[in-house]
Amino acid sequence: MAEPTALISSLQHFSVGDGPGIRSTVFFQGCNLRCPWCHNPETISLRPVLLFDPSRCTDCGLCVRVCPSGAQALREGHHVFIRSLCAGCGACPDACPADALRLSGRAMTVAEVLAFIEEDRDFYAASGGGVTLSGGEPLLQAPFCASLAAECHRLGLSVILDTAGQVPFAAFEQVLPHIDRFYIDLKCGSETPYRDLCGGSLKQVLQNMARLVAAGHAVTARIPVVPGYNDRASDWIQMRDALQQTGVREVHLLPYHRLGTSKYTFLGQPYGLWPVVPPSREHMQALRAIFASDFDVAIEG
Amino acid sequence: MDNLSCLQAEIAQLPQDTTRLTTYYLALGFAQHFDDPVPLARAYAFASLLTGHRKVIYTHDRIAGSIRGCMRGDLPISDAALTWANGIVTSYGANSFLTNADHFAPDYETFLAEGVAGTLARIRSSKRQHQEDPDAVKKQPFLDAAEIAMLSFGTMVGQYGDAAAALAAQVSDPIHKTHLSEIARACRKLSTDKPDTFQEAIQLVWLAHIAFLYEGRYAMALGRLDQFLYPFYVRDITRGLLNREEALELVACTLCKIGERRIWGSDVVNIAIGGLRRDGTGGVNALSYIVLEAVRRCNIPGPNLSARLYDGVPDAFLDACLEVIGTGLGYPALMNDAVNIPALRRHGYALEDCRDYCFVGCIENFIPGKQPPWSDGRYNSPKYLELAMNNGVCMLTGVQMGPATGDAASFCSMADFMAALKAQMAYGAAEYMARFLNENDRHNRTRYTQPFLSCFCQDCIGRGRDINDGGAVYPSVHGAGCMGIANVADSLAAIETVIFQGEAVSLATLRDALRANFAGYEALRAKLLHAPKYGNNLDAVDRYAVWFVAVHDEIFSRYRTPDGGPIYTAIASNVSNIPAGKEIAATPDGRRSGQPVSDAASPSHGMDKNGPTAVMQSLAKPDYTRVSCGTVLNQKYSPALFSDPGKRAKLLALIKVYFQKGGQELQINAVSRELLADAMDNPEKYRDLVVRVSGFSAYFTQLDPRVQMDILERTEHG
Repeated sequence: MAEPTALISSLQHFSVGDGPGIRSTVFFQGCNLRCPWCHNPETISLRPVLLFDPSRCTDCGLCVRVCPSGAQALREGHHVFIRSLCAGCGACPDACPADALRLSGRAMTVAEVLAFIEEDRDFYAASGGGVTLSGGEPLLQAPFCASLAAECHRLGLSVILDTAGQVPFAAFEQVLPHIDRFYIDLKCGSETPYRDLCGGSLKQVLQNMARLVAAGHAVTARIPVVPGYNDRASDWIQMRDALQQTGVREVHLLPYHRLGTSKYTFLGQPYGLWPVVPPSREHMQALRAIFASDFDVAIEG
Repeated sequence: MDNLSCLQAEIAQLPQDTTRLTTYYLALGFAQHFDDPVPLARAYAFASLLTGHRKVIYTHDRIAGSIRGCMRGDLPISDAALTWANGIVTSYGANSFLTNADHFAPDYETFLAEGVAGTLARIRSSKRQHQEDPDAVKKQPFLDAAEIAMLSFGTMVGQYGDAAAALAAQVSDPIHKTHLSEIARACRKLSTDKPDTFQEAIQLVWLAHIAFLYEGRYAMALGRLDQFLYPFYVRDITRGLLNREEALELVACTLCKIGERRIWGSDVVNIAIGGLRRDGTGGVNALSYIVLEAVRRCNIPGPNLSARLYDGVPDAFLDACLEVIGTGLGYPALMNDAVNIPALRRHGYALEDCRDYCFVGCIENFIPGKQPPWSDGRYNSPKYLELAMNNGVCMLTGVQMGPATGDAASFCSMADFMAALKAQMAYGAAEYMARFLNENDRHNRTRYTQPFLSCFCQDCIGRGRDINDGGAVYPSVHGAGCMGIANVADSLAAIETVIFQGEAVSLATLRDALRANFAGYEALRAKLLHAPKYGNNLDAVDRYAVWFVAVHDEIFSRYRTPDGGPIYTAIASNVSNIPAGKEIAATPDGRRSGQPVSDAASPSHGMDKNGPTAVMQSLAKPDYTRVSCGTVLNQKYSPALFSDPGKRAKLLALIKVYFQKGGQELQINAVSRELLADAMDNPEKYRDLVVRVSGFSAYFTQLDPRVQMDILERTEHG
């Protein structure tokens, strides 16, 4: 039987915003939410997707020669990418001399991912860092997360799991023994906007948080601060109150940023949040104050 | 405005006429000594320069000595007079890098212990000692010249004292009056006596440095300032004569004047802080932090500050370095004692001397006051790939530049090709060394006696010999700057994986592709570009970087400088990588003809795709104890990473691991607002500029302008 694999969007060394110390982050492919501010839109699809940067393309046509499905084509000397025909096979990035193509979503085994992680062991040891499983929604591939995290623990590496929490608790149960801390997104303070904005059930997220805390697991709530979407005073009061119910003690506030927008272009998708300007430092401090009395709060990023 | 800012404002107010009068004062000295032997005439010319120039003192200064006295200003010296002076000085020949005049770190420790009078006494004693020597006819004029030079320096120091006293009498502000009077007292004392206080010590060092600048020298290092000034600092602190803030102001007033020299073009004044001491104990002390802080307060591009790190160096020191780097200054450069000391030791220098190393110029390792001035050149390593591919024939000109090592079609294995490459490299090194030695002959250094400089190098006075004529304890060294380590490593890995392990393409086809600059071979070029690349922690390619470092050392170890010294290698583009690239046809790594070669020890532009930890692991694989000159690894980080101690701790860990693994050097730039703004205007220059915010990395130039502005804003607040 073939070794089990997961669909991985990308692997990143020297992640410094995904937990303590120097970490390597595993970005899983596939997500079950559709948050409009997502800065990793290439990880949403459950199937491999191709990112194409037209500004780098030199119209050389080498991708056309290797594409088995006719998605890459030359028309009057100019390259065109027909996304609807793309099967995500990953042949063209290897043929492109201009670094204009990248595949998000490659099947990898635990051993392959682990080999990447192990490269930076000395850096984790020196900095108190480790491994962060992120995405996408890593828990959509929970059995793989569990195997990978177990292997990391075997090597003495700490593992953080960064999830939106929009999964049945059973998914958490699979990984529990090998996760040192859960980072769980809190995107809204009430059910309706959460459903309308992200397409999920807040109740499930909060229940998962509460059950993890009750079972003695370390949980940090991570709140993306997106002006106009979840940063009205009422949102904050709701989020704070909801969190208090769960027993979570640690909160990270993550200011919205637009660094991922070029990837929307590479995916041929519109980006809907251009009018949204990143929150000011002062605004972040004000929000921090709302949580500071009841939680350990840090502004990350 | 604080005192330092006022001083910097004074310095910024230049006279209208900044014409340099160096040759004028030199010519006046020569003119009175046409009949004297040349070494003596040179000494008199030097004396005329030191004693003749105006002594400029700034009202807000604490340490006297400015190159402004060499600017014409309102002095009635005509252009015709300068033309006359230039004629005379040109006829005697001017000192330069080629005559071994600069890139030197003086022995300030001894000078501080002896002062002018002590040095003069040593010169006179040596004169007596050597008067019966068979070559006394050579030694006596040298020692006479040294005496004339040192006496004139003493006079100059006294003149600065007089000038300070005169200014003190004019100013009304009581604080300025006090400070200027202190300068006057110190300088008058130092015109003969050795220093006793911290202020006197730094004053004497600075005036010696100024004297070197008046001579027209360049890249004169201050060396281990925090070590040789430390005894004075401790004594004054203990006696209650000095406090930290006072010392900081004295150091800042000194270092901020380094910027003055830029009016005559760039200068590189290296200062080394930290590092092991001669006895092997850690050298980070209170002054190391004071120098760091002074440099931060001066906030000028220069000095070239270098921090020597060692096993057991306090985290607080590295953190303080990172804080200064984070201001966008781009220094200190971080240096690894665990590599540099063994790298020097292999040439047989005493262990204590190796531990006492500092830097001249940018990164060149140097044993202060024991070696003649530094020289180096550019050895264009990737060119030999081209010659090995093309049977010794230059692809750009068709000239047979190297030996005929065989047609590309005749190589059956990687080993065959490597042997040809090594033969081309060895031949290239022979040519390089022949040119170096010929150049050396042409600029016969013994004719350009350096009596004043020789007073700062052991054991010139004792031996009665000039610094470039056997006076120095150790012989001269030469640094061969080996270019393009990434191009060579990437090319070899590409040849191995695409040609010898692949099936479709022959080496002869690759040669044809390179000759054609890939026209018609784009698919092959894509394959080459996708071969493993140096900087990603891949052994398949990094092993060729290991080979590169070892083979250059091996090849250059066969040669010596004219006085028997070693040839060091440098993995650093002392001379720019852009002109080097223009001399080279397309290379098997996919680089096109004429494109720049890779920068120093860094990976090829944009080819490091796995972040800084992977770059550092690749970089640390070669044995850099075989690179005695030094390495440069440039890295850029977002200022956000320097903003708080928690984030700096991650950088600190990164650097420590890099050095533990055997990295030699690291130069970090916090990406400044100015740089980002420039990248928005000139994206083609910054294709590989990666910004990392909150664990997220992106190519800056690929981002939407609105996002670029977001980052710019963060940078402002960072």
